[in-house]
Amino acid sequence: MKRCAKVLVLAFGLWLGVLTGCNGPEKAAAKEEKKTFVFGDTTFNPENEEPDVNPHNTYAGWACIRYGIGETLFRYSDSMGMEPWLAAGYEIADELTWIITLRDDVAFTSGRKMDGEAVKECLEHLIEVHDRARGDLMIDTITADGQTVTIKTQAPKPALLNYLSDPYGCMIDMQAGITADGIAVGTGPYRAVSLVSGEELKLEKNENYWNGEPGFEEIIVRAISDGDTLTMALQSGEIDGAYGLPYASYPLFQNEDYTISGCATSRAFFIHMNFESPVIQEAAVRKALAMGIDKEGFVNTLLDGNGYAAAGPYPANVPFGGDAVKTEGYDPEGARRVLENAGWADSDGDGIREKNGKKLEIRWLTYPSRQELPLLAEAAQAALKDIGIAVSIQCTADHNRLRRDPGAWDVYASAMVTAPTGDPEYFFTTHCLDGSSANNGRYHSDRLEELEKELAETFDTARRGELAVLMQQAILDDNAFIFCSHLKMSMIFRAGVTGLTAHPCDFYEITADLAPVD
Amino acid sequence: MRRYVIKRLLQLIPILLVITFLSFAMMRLAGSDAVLQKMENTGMALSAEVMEKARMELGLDKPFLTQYGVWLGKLLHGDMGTSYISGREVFPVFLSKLPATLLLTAVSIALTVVISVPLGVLAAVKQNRFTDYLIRLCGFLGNSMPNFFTALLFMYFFSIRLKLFPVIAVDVGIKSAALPALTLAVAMSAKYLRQVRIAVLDELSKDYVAGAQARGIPFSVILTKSILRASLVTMITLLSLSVGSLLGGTAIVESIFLWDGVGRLAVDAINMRDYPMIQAYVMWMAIIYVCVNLVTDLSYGFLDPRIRLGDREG
Amino acid sequence: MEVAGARKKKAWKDRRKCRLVLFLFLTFALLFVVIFAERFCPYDPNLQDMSRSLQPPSLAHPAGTDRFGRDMLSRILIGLKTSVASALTLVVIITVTGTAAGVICGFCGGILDSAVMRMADVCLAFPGLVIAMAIAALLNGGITSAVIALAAVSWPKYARIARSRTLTLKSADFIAAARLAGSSSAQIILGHILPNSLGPILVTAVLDIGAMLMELAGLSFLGLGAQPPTAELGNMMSGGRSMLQTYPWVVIGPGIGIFIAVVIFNLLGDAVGECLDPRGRQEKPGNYINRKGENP
Repeated sequence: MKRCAKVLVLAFGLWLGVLTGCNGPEKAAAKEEKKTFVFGDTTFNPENEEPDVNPHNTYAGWACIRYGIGETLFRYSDSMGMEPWLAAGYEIADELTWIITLRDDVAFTSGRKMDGEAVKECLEHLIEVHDRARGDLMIDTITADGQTVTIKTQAPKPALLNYLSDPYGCMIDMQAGITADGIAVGTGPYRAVSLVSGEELKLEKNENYWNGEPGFEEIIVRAISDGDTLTMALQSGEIDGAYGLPYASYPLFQNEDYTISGCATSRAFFIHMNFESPVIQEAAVRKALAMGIDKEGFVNTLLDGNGYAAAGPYPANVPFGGDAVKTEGYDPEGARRVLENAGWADSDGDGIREKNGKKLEIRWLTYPSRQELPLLAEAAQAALKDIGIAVSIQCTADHNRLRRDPGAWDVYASAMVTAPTGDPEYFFTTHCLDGSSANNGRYHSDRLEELEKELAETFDTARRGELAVLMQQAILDDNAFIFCSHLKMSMIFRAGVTGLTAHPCDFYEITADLAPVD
Repeated sequence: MRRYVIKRLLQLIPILLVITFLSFAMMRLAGSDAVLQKMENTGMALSAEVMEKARMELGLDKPFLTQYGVWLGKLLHGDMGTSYISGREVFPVFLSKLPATLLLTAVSIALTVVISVPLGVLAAVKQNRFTDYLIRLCGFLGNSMPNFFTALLFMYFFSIRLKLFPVIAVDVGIKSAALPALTLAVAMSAKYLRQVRIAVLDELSKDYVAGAQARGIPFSVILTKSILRASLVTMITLLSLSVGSLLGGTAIVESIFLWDGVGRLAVDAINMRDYPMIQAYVMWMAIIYVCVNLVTDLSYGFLDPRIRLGDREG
Repeated sequence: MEVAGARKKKAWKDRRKCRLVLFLFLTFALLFVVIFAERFCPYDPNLQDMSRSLQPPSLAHPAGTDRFGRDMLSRILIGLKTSVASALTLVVIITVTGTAAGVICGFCGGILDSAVMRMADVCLAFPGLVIAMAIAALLNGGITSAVIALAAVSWPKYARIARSRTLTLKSADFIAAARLAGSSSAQIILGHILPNSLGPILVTAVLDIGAMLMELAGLSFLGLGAQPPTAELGNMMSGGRSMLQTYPWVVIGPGIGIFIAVVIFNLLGDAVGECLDPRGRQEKPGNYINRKGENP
């Protein structure tokens, strides 16, 4: 019997050996030869609206631009201003007419030259199939003539260039078409060869790229939806670069073997105040809440420094963002005074304030799919208890139904992108106005509505920025929202690779700059 | 015999009807929908019109009963619908995930049998001796580890520390199946070896064993010829139960190891409120359940003539 | 020879009793710790101190601190309380409802019997995950919904055991005698059938506690059980999952917590089973079926 056991152990060992023996070195060797870069991404899947690389499909369609397949007519600079990309320049003929000149040296990977006709076909297809693009661009007619395109809009569209730079604005060759797998033909440094939705995308170098020489022969983008698996894959060398790693694993890569590139994005973690809730209607309570949340502590400790404490909706790397507006700082002592003056006092000594026999209790609604939100809720719960506000947290995947029920919550913490196109108007029209779909707290401000009217008709970028500051200040003065932090988007990649740079708009990942270090 | 099988399979129909209706109803009651979930993931607010349009395209604006009716009608024509998330047809997607699940099931069952049968027999033969205690202790510990804990520890040691196995299951193959299968096998083996031990002990105490030994038949022959065969019924029951739950996909292990099987598909579908996909999964589970039960009952008949078909309530 | 055998048998029986007593003691110790968890906590489990976040285990914090700077040991104790309490509730719910349904079905037979048993089939064939998700959303999450979801898919097991026991007992002579003596159906069920079927049901129930603990933790791990503000071992582990390499104590501590609790309940279940049924016959096919064995 003992022998029997020994044989068993041996057999099991052998089996393990066989399993581990096969492949491994060969793979590495092949990698050397072909100069392949393997990129792991947590968001490249249908759940994140990125089922394929067709920019005209689905609401977001970021994959085309992110992986270097397509490029837009204009692009965002590092301070989120607009600069020409596939376009050479533009001219505003009148409020409704834009004349865009195209570069003369750009060709699609299908071999077709990118000319006015190609752009016209592409945009016409876009507004035909893409609801959001149609609403954003409000294009009336497009005419093409050689390398110029004239776009007429139905209404004045001051932010047209910003919208054209949205990932859906990637120029693709409509004659080459879109394959059943969702592969489109663009002008970027790489072209898609094969795609399995939610799993893997294979890219090959575009030999005739117009803007420099792409650094790798081949790029493989692997969809790895789980952050921890992504971490281990990067550690084990199965991938060379990663997007979407959990913060907790950053320390593993803070050494000379890896490079981390990060920057602030406009994805903000912020709190909506419910103006139909009696407690929240009281300005003093809103003010105390704004003063009672330790944004710096949240960012530094809970996010390990992977974020930026926010004042308003926009991060500091846009001209109208960051410190351009003033709001309450973390001041527990001041918050206590504010509550005290408003008549909220802790008379029964349980640590929670009350007024007219009613306890100061806040129902905090949030959801778990963004890992930072439950953390924020718990941190705020402890900090607010300190100033005498009881917080009960409801963290549920069902928040989308609850947030529309004004009786179900007092404050609602969410994570949304505030300026996806670099233009400030988006946030106000989606979150703060009377008709906004995400104005969950039914906030209303006459001044804000008035300012928005002006913003909608202003073409001058500088003036738009000024208006944006005034509008932010208006909502902050009302404490209608509390902006806690901005997400720091980071990409981590192995040493030996260069040119992977995080960009504030979160759209540009793989570019021609990405190259091995020789 | 044939009538019995047909009767059992016919029972599947009402079960399927009730189950699909229930899951349809439950997921609708659960609030949120595919449109909202996608918006949450991307973090971009949609205008009310775009949302309404998206809902209309998916048919989510219709009353609940109509939606179920439409779904059922399509199903009768062999159309399981298209995924709300990826826009691809549900049935081919579901089928494409099956091989991975089947492989994982097969490997983990094989591993379990390889680990548990010899150890269970050994423990029984050495009853109340050191070997027995050691094996039982290991079984105990294995049975008391939550599988996600085991999975995380395995991943950490085998993939990161020892670099023996790949972290991501790049392709569906034996090598990438090893760790998830081992994780599943640990808990199952622990349970199996207890049962095997009990079954063998049961047989050992019977008179024929003593009789055979008295007649000078070597113990090893008795063991392989009689005792193992007799404990097969226990094994079959256990196996059928495990196969059933394994075929349904093991959500936790599959998602930790990124194993591209049915379980992960189900979790993703549920999280995203991808109704057609959830329905496909629910139907699959019901079919497995009924079929596995049927096969198990039939196998009893073959293994032990004393059990008559139809006696057991299924 | 025979005397020695008998003595050995007796010693064996004593040993079995000893083990039962020992494990009962262990269980009570665990329950004691769990019930008075607050008293045993060295710190307030909800007290945050960002300046002491993610400290490794030390004398001041034997299990380290989490990222809020809360004492892990206190969190684990409170988490254990949540986990054990909900597992016990769950087992009580399924035992009571399952047994009641089974006994009544077995006793009455007819349409009621087949209706309830078909319902049991549906519940068994229904993926627990879908139920858990739906109920979690209906009740706005939390450990309660996980308990209800697991109850919905676990009760049929008990119904089947109770039913088959009832069917066997129904035809027994003493039941017929009782009936002749004029006992009502309720009296027969409560006075004769229930007491006589309780044995195997109890064994199953005790054996189930450990398994249910793990199932609940598994649902929480997937984000379908307890939600963040509640300390629960499964969600503590999933919350700390990404820290397995960098701050392992955040994951391993709660893992060990579950492990210990499950081991204790499993040991007890084993001992109870051995005492009531020496050869472990209750685990043979046809008597009870542990369907949800491996995974939720």
